[in-house]
Amino acid sequence: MKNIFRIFVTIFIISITTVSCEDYLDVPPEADITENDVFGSYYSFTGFLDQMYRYIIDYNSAKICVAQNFTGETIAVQGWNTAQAASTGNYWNLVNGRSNFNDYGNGDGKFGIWNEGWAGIRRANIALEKLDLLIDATPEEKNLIEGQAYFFRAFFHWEILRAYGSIPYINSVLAADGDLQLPRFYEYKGKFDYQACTEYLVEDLEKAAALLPEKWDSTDEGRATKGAAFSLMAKALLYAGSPLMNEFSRNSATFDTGYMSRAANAAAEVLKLADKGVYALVPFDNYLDMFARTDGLTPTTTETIFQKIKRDVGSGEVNTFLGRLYMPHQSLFGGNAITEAVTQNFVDIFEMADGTKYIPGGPDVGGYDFDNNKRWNNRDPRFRKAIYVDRDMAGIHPSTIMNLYDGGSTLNGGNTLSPYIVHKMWPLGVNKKDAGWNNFRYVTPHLRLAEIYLIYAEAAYQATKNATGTSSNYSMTALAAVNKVRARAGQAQVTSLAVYNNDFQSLVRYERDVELCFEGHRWYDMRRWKIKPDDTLWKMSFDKNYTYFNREIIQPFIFDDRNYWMPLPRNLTSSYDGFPQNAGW
Amino acid sequence: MSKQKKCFIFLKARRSLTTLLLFLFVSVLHAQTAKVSGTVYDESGQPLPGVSVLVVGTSKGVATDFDGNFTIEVSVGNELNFNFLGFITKKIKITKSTKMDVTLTADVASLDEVIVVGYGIQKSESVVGAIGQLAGKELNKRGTVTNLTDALSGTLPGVTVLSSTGIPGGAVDGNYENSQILIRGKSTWNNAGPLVLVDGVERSMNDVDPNDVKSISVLKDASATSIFGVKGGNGVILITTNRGIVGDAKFKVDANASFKQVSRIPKTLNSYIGTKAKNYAIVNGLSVNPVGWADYTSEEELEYFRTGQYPYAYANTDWANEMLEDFGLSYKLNMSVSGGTEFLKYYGSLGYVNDGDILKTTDVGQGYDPDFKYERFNFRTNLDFTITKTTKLGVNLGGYYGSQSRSGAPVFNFWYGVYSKPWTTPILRYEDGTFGQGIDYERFGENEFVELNFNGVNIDHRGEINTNIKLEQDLDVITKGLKITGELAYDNYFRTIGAGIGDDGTLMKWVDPAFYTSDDPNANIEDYTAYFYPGDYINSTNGFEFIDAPLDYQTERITDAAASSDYSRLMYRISLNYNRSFGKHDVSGLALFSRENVKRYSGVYNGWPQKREDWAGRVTYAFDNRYNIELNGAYNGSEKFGDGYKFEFFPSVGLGWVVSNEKFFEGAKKVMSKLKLRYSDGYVGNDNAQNIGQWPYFTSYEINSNRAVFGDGPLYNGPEIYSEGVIGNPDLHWETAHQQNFGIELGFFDDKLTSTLDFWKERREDILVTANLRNVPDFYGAPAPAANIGITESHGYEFQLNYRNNIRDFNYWGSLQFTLVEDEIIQKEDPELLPDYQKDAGFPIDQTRSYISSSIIQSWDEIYNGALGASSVDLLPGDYRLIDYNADGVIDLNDVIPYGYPGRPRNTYFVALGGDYKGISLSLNFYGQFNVTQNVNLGEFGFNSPAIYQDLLDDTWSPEYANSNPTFRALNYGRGVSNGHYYEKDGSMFRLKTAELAYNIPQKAIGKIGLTALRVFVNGNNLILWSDLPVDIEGQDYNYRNYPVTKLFNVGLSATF
Repeated sequence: MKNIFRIFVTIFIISITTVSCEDYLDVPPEADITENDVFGSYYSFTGFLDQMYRYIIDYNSAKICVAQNFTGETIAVQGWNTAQAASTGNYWNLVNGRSNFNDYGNGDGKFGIWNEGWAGIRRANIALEKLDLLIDATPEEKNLIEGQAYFFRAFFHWEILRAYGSIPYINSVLAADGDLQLPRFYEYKGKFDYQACTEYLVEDLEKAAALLPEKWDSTDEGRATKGAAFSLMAKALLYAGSPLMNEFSRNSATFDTGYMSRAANAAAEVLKLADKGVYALVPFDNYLDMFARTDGLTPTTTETIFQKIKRDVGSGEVNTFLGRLYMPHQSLFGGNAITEAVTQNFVDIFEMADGTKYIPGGPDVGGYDFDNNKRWNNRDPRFRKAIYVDRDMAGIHPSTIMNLYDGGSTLNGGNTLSPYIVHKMWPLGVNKKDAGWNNFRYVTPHLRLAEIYLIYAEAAYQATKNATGTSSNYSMTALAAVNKVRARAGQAQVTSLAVYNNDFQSLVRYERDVELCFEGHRWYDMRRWKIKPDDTLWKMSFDKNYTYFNREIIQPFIFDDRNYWMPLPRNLTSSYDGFPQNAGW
Repeated sequence: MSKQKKCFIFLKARRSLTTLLLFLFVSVLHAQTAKVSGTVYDESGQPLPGVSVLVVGTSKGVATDFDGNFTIEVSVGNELNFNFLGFITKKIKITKSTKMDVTLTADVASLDEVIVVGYGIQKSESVVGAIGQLAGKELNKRGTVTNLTDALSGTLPGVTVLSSTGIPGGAVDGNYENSQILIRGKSTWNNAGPLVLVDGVERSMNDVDPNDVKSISVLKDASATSIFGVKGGNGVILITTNRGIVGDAKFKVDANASFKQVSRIPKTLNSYIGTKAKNYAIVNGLSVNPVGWADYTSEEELEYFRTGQYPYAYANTDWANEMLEDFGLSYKLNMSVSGGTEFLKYYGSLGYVNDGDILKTTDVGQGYDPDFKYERFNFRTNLDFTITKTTKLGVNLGGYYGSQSRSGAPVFNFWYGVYSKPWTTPILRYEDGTFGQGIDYERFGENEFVELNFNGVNIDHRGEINTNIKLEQDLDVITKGLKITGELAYDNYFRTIGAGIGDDGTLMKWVDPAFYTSDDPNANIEDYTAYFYPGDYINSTNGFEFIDAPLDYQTERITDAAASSDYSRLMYRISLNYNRSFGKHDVSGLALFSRENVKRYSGVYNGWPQKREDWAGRVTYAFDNRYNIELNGAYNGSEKFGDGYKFEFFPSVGLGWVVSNEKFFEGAKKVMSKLKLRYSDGYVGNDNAQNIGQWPYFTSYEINSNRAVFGDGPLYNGPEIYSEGVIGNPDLHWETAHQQNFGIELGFFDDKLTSTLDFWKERREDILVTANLRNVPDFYGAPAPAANIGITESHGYEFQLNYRNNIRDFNYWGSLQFTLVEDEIIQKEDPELLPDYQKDAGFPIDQTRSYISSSIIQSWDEIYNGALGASSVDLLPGDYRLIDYNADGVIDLNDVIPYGYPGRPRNTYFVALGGDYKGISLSLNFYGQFNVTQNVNLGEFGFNSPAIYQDLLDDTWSPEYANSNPTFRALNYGRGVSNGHYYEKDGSMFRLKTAELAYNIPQKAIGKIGLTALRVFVNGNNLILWSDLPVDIEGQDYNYRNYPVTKLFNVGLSATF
């Protein structure tokens, strides 16, 4: 009996000890993807890098009901609509609620500019630090990886920087237990704060521009290019020298000519590429192909320099994104009640086709509001490309007519606050009646050639204070650059600045407003110029038979000094002294 | 033990064996049979039919007949064993032929005598830990409540169930909330749910059939839980299922039918009052929100609402009434058989439950009924084989198959109909029976009834098979009282998407104009005698605006989402048990080794088995039933931690002193029949945290099939995306809880009055903090590695007072239980510069925080004069004056301060009353909670809550209504107005949780139809609610898209034959 017990105990002990406990609980080797697996070959390294493209925020489709129209160009009824939230001046609602800045919603870009940005920067830094592990690649391929990593490190800093103001420039992979109390304000290359950060990112972009190709193979089309690096550089320099940023960097609220000439030079590099045929302004007939297509192809044209390449196609784009943002009327079009409609304030901006200003008001004040030939017709051709007005057809089916008169069905029973619907991203036929959405795709360009012409124009003008000024490396004048963009749209050429009070900058502002509307530029532009939006939002009220046209107040629009910058996350600003909150928040 | 002594024990054992053999031999030689007959009675003298009478040591036995009589032949010298469920087993030695009357005593306290503890059972007297136990049959008072978690609400001190939903079958897809169970509150901001073991294996308890449950044991302190070590930190619930006992087969049938109703939801106001209130709000806010004027309703129209004169143009729809049935029906049926011989004891059961719907789901022409319901089949076989005298084999096979149906409508689309739809919106239904789609531009113009019913059916199937095999070998041959047990469990959980129905939900006429009536401005209201058909409809060929797509009958399938909750669990365990008495010394010991291997298929685990390894042990020693000492320990291994941290030892000690068993106590015993003191002290742990990942000590890379896409069109995919995985922290280790418990057990007057009082405290250190809960600057750029940062302390008490007595045949009892749980965060990774009142440290876990309103602004003067902070821009009389807590002249986020309590109750209490008289019994169980703050955000005229509620109107300030004590600001239409802390409500409540009236029909009446027992009863759950809240929620916030909590009336019977 004793023996049996002994044998039993021995077996018991042996069986337990031979299977070592540590081994049992260890990570199975096959579950461990090592650094060499990831960074060893061009193909797998690219797989690591590609997430960057998914981090990019598309301003009009990153999240449900979210756009970037923060200066009263559009408005919607619900408090959590981004245009409405911005109109109260309380940006906490944007950074903590539904917006491109917050972790909200789902899918690509879910985490918002702030979080996706920092994640992208970390990834870029990892890529740069692990470059040595890349063995299975040609030197050219190595350059492509390195170039993209530099590009994205700059890109994501830039996205945060221009909204939040100065941030630390992160150029190494941070350790969680290291010193993370990095200062917000610092000096670099003799510049401070916002401009110091810009100097860092321009440095990265210079490296990127040197490493990246002018064009990729067709299968890789959409990746960052030399042109994208120069474009971003031009834009970053333009911003850094603009009044708001210049003031933020311990200077005055004026344009800095140094930055302006550097911006013009960088923009000129892109224009040179255009002259070489790498880019071209797209003919006006195909203008909207830049933003949306119904043939299943990527909305990309010869004008596109950089944008998010989205996979999404089909009715989901309407049901989840565009429909909930710009489209009205669920059962007819597939939109819903939260239509972000264009205000009268913004509609008034569009010039007449002959280049004169639109005059608001009734005949008593000499205004055009009652004039059927002027109110919505014979305006800058870009008006009707960007905006649907009453009686426009949004499709082929007869019932897709826009009923935007008082009580009209397209107004969603008053829940659409203004009788103008965004058309730019909403092509004809994409609605329930015509069901033209099976191959619908839409996108908002981050950088496109028309904007580069306008950056060139503004920078060359501000550097020389002369509408006929040029950059040091390119011969086109500022005015010619603006006219190039106007010519494409068929809008009258500017020969005299009288309409613009002899202020070339107002012309630039007009062009940027109109050419780039609803693409997420205006809020950044008005801020950098330190110009506050109108304090009241208006709509037009009229009946079905056009017997009256009344301008009515929609609501006030609040934009205080604090609205020049986004509020920083409270957790961060209350963690240590070196990271103070922006003024007013 | 010295070698000599050991030998002595063996010699002694051998000698006994020889004696026994000799005795048996002699017995056989001199076998003499005796004929024994007699009658078995219960204490009241009623004959007991069906009592098993067995000759001990043989398989020979009979059962008493209907009159309790039996006759059996037995060898002289053998014992007869009288066994009947619910009675104390009696053994009688037979020396001659005889006729005898046997009386069996009811085993009232059979459950109290034995307490189920971790990996074993103990006599209640020697228990030194804080353990609460509930008999399974108590659960049956809950009628058809299908979810065992819900059934535990208000039953045991120290156990809190947080619940706000009544969805049949529970939440499966994340759109609904599930009930949560907490033992002694929360001591960590990580998952604070207890470890649940069903028959010794970690399993979900929700779908266990309450009829199969023999007992539920709740282990609350370290001495009880430290044997579970790392998993014991949040308390342990042990569920033991029924097993067979030796005796004739007993069939039992339980049948229940329940009516259920919505317990309480907020009451919306009718068209007239609601619209009037809206008008008031519009006028009040006009100076700030002039466009609100457009929504003003004229006096004339108001009058139409009031009179109901033109119901088609001016509707008055009680939406909640239209969306909810008066009552739903549920059924439950359970059959079981149990019994056994010396060789095989068995328990088998089959259960069926059908939990019905209270929403008005119905087939109104769409071709299906999108009922919310849950059907479940349960089965269980528990077998115990006595293979040899020393070898036992236990085989458990249990499981269920459940099928949950729900309307296919997205939750956003129809719950408004139940909770917050204005009465002014009609349910658009035409004379021909077809429905109209609402006005789509108004979110709440959607026809919720149609949304609910015309969106198809979603079906979820889930099932689980649990298998245990347990082999037990007495090792008396080595030393008496030693046993070795091997156990293996294999569980499999699977989920599939059932054969639902897809419907695009457009079998509706589409109504275009701004109102449901006409877009002809010249039309007279008098002409509207039906809902208006829009022009498009009249002209359309098929009568509908859209061609109705055929229903999509889906087939049962496995989707990624379904598979992600699948798992299989393999657990094996080997243990040595020792249990022996030496005179006044009782000694027991346990040594145990177990491993577990769980495979999940969800994203985090990528199919790699999750592993765990446990070594555990226990030694108990009791002297003379007076002194008890118990040492427990667990040495656990977790794959979550790196080298040097993989294993941790969790010890505990428990001490007990039964003072009343002391000699000196004799004198006092007449009054105080029991006095026991116990104390425990020990450590338990936790290795689980939100999204902690499988190997958080180790940085790896992950691969993700979502690729970036380039080129023109979606055709070309880039390489698969690699990402940095969870960033590892090699120093990560266990969260440890130091728990202490002091208990007093008292009995008076022969234990008629008993009381238990437990004081406890806990300090939890090294709390695991993961990614988003860490405070690492965002520019770090990744979820920060997990770390052990944080300390909490909690303490509390549980008090129980029970009284039980009888006046002749009338037995009655009452019980009062009272508990307190308080916790405080001592240290957390708070941002340093935050003001102290905004840090988590220093406050309870999940402290409620809010802007605070000091009063309601009474006049314009106050607005112009007062320092109301920056929010004063749009303020009007009637709005809240918010407290500028930090006195910086601005009302901003810095003025959000702690208010009230967390959302789970600090205090709970139960009151139970009952009595029985000759087979009739009545019991009432009350449950209450206080010191709890619940968020009930109703809102008015808003996007998520377009209606207006009675509760708000009752509290509203207005100069006209001159409400005597307004607490709610003036009604608001379309302005951004602060609610202060108004919606942070006192969640105190008291409810009649269960009540039961039952009758045991006397034997005489039912014997003729072959029954041995028949019990009929009516009972109910959540019967009466006393609470100031407009909605029935317990410890969870109000959510306008929850399936409402229900109350239940149940009739049932339980028959044994």
